[in-house]
Amino acid sequence: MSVSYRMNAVKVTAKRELKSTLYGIGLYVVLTIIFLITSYASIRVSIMNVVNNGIEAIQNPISWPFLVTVFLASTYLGLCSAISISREREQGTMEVLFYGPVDSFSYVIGKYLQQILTFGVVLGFSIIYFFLISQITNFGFTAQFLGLLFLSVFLASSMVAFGIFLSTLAKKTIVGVVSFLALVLFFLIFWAAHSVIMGISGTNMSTALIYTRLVLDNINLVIQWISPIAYFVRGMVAVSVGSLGQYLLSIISSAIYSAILIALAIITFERRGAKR
Amino acid sequence: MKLRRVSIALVLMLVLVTGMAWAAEVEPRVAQTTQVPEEVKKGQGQPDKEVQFVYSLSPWTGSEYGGTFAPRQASTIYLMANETNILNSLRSEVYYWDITREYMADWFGFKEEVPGTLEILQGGKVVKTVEKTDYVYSYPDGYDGRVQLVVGADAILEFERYNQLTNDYWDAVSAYYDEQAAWQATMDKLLKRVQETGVYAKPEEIPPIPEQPTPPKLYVTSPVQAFVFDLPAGQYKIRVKSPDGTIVEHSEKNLVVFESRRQGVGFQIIPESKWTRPVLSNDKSQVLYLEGRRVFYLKPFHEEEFNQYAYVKMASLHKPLEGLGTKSAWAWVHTEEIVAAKAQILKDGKVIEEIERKPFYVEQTPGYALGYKIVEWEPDPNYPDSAPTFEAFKIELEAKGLYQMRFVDSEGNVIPGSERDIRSVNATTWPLYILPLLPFIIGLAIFFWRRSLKVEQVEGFLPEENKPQTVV
Repeated sequence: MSVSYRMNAVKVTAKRELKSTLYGIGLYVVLTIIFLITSYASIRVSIMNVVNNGIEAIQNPISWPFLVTVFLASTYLGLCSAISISREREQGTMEVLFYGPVDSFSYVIGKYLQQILTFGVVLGFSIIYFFLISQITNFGFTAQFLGLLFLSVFLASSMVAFGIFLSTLAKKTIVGVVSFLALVLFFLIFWAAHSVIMGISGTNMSTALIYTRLVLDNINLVIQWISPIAYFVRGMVAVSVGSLGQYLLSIISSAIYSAILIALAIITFERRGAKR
Repeated sequence: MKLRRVSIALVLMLVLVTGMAWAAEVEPRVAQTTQVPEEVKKGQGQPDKEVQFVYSLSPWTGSEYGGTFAPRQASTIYLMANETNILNSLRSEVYYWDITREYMADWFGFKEEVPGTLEILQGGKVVKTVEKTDYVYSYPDGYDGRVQLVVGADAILEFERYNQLTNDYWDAVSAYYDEQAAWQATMDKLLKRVQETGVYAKPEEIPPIPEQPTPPKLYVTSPVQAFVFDLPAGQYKIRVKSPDGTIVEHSEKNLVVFESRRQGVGFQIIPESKWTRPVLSNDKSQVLYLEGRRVFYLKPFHEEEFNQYAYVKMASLHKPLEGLGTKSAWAWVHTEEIVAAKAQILKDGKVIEEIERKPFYVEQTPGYALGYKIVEWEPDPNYPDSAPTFEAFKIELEAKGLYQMRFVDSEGNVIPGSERDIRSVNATTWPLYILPLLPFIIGLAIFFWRRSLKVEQVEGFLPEENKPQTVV
């Protein structure tokens, strides 16, 4: 298939899907729920901490809620990708599409592009929401936050690519969805456990805790290259440390991660075909 | 298809088996530093001692010289880059003490100097040779104050100076007691005369009270010989070459010399309302958030951020479990307290207040109820031993909006990394539950707009008589 046909197919697929997402109410409901969660569980807690302790020395309290927002929104988009591809295969829609001027490349890239564009909408709402929150609470809207904003696009890209890749492997929608959620949950729990255990003071720990930390740190050597969350966290650390080199490295590695997963998804598609 | 699946499974199995074999190969090496060999552990309660070659270590930890040692089981020594570190080659009885999970050397039972030269190698080549030299720790402001390392001939001179000062002091004390006795005898005579005659003594007849000599603040440890050296960051190997040219058995170790990732200024923030619960601010990206009018005291420190594993291993190499699993963690270490500086508070880029470091005293309020107040401390001649509770920079802010805080040195230069933003927090929480509804409202608007479009399309398509009368 020629490049112009492919590009047109990508454009049409992405446009159709994007319209369908933006004209539905699902995305807005999800965003509202995410914002409510971050407002209640994170921003309110930060305010209460300052009020109760009188003084707190912390990094901008909107950075974490923003990470939560980006993570939940990306998970939602990744899940949407997984559902949409598996369902289209299961229902036979994909087969019909592939009889037309659509191939594996244009289909996968179209799906990916649509989710990234949708994430642009998420980001737009997030900027408005967090800007207003920072003004109301006086938490401040810093350059560091803008660095995270740009970085978040790559987290979303990694999550979407991960979702697409898993859905190309799964024969049934339920398998794609469950495997995506299970893996994301595993990565999240692992990251949380690793962060908590690393935050514990190193002296006078129990032997069990020391070996748990050792095991988690060793597993982290592998997980950090598989988990989409790890890529974003690395970028966050780079932003907080103020290291431009690390920041760029994080962006490039996220982009490579997404590209590899998308390429794998296209190859899997090619091999398996569009049939149920 | 089946053949392909079988081959994939075989490849996976092969990878798994190779991985396990690799792990099994690594395990004994890990065990050397993480687990205690059985021969050292046996004899529960009375651990078996083993005469070993050890390196005793006094690494510079950023604020002082630490104390640890490298038993035979520790294959790698960690030291801070570009700082003077002390290492000595000894032989002692080493045992593992299970209660505190650490190797111990019975220095008082058996301690033998191992003579020789320390060779430091990089890439298989000797890059530095270090001879043993004398060194002492000198504490110019007393044992609780800062420490200075004095090396070589100066170490002996410093120790002699300390001995001289101490001897002079004891001589002065002895002379003082003699003068005191003579003064007391004169005073007794005068008092007796006054009692007998009823005539007061003239002021010129009363001798001045002898002054008690002040003990020297300086404290210097006895000179000891060891290898004293500094190295740039890198991976090295070390060994001790005995005077006969042979390498001392078990003296070969890896040496990791590490440097900090970042430097800055850390703060210990003492809120007046919770003076026993200080808050730490180690990172420049942290903001001080306040609510209402707040008084707090700042103690600034120079600080460096090190890899946690390397730092902990440097300070506690004799504790094999310490620091395990922290290779990916980083930790700030406060080094020297910043004393000769001023705190500046800025609003809109202009300095609105300049604060000096002062001593403070925490005064308990009388009565049974708990309470205290922090007051400025002033020396009281009636209580020469009294001391301030802490010395810090007192900040008093009715926080409204955004402030900046920074520290300047005696020449007015801003101390890098000492800048922090101070923000007052608006404690009103109800807007937090209103703002999230924004996407939902927009979503609803789009939904109803789309619905109305559909209805219009349907209305345009249907014959006039079949048009719906109401829109739901």
